[in-house]
Amino acid sequence: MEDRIIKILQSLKLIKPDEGFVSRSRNTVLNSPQNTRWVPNLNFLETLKFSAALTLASALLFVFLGGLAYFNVKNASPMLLSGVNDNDLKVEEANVDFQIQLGEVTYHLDSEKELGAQIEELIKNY
Amino acid sequence: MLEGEQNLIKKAKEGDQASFGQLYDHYIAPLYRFVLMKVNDKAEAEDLTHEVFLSSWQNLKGYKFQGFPFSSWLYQIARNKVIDFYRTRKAYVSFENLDEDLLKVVGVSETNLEVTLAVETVKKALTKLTPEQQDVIAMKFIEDLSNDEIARNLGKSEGAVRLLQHRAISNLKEILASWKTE
Repeated sequence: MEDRIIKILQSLKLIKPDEGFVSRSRNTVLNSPQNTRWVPNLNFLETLKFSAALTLASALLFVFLGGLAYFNVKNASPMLLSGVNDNDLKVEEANVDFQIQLGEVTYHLDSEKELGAQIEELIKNY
Repeated sequence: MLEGEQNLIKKAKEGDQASFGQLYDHYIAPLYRFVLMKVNDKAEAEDLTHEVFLSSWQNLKGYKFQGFPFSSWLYQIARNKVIDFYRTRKAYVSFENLDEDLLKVVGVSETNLEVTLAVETVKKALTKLTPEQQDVIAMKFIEDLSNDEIARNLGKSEGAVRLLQHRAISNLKEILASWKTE
């Protein structure tokens, strides 16, 4: 059955449009005016595609890295500067003399004024 | 693809009627058959084919070569015209309306009614396929295009074209078998 269908389909290729129709249609088409309205040349958009994609990718990367840095994902964040040495930072931290004993700072949660006064005092002493 | 097609298109875009005339002469028959297979009506097929070429001539300045043959642009216009045709006119297919031209070209005489009906039945069954299946069948068997050419015309892969062709033939068999039992 399939062969017969294909044979019939192939016989359809012999169909040709009526010569009178072709002649009339051809003349009508060729004698009609072409649209002369200005067609914008959008070729420059093609070049913009790559830059736009690159810009978007950079923006996404920036947001992603910013997110990592914000949540302090130290090991995963490539934002960490390789020039910053952990050991140096620790030594620097040990040498800093804060002159403050944090244990003396008491938070009185029921009294903001008192807390403010204490903080002010601490600043003055510092 | 017509030899020197891009050059003809370039000249036609500048308004050269003779160049577009050559394109017209080359593509009128396949486009007419393509449309006829979809609407199954000679007068409508002529009107729609004329509209396809008129539209392509009038809007040729907007045509831009993007690696696809010019025919793919024409087929796309034809598909859109056929879609508009069915959307606006709600056309129906009349089984009694035998196409005289078709009978002539396949060499069918009135005495050979069985063959006549077979051809007309297949033609009618084609209209029951999906538009994509119709496109593939028309391009493959009626226009003798290769799978690669069909794929480029329809913007699909060759694998997808083969699949569509296989499904189209299967559907045609089913449709014809169901009509036979009725």
